[in-house]
Amino acid sequence: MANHVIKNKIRQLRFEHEQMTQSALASSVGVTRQTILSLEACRYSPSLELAFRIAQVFQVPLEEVFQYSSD
Amino acid sequence: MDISAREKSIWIEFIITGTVSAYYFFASYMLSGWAQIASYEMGLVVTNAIILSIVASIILYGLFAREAPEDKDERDLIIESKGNACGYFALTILCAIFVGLIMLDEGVGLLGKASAINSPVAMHLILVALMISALFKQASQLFHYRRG
Repeated sequence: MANHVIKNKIRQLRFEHEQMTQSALASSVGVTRQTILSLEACRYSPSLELAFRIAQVFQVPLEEVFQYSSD
Repeated sequence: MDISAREKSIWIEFIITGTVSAYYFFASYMLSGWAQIASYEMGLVVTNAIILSIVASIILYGLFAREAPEDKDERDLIIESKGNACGYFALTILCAIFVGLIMLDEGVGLLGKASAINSPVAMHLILVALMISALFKQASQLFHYRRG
């Protein structure tokens, strides 16, 4: 069975948005900095609500931030 | 090491739970082999355990976790529920083992007279189960925080 993983471009998008810090993004979406750290390392898959909130902060569609892929 | 205030707090709870439990079970076992509950010496052991936990909390929180933990986010809640599941599993297994031991001892007498499980020993076995399940819960939370 293929190993599915939710990848994301949060790190890249942060840098494209005036080098937004992890802490700033975390407080914008209402999570801890450690959660953003885990998300960027693809070690944690966010809830749908959190995924939408992150996409909203960067003002891009959800699929531009998160991609569902199989290894 | 990048560590949140909540994770620090769980580390401290883990250390305190382990230390105080180890002291209590060792001291009460040395006293009477867990065969008594209501005595002056047992009162001292319980008082010392309470003082030890308060002093350890003041020292560890004062040194390592001065800032208040942030509000729990969704990842914290998921990790907490995984910890609860792990602790519950450990508690269930330990209770099953202890019920089996008591049945063997009381019902069939397979353990012999030397290991008679009376009420105080049964109480301590329950306390052991609660302590180990709490440690499993905290260890599981720490594992999941470190894993991501």
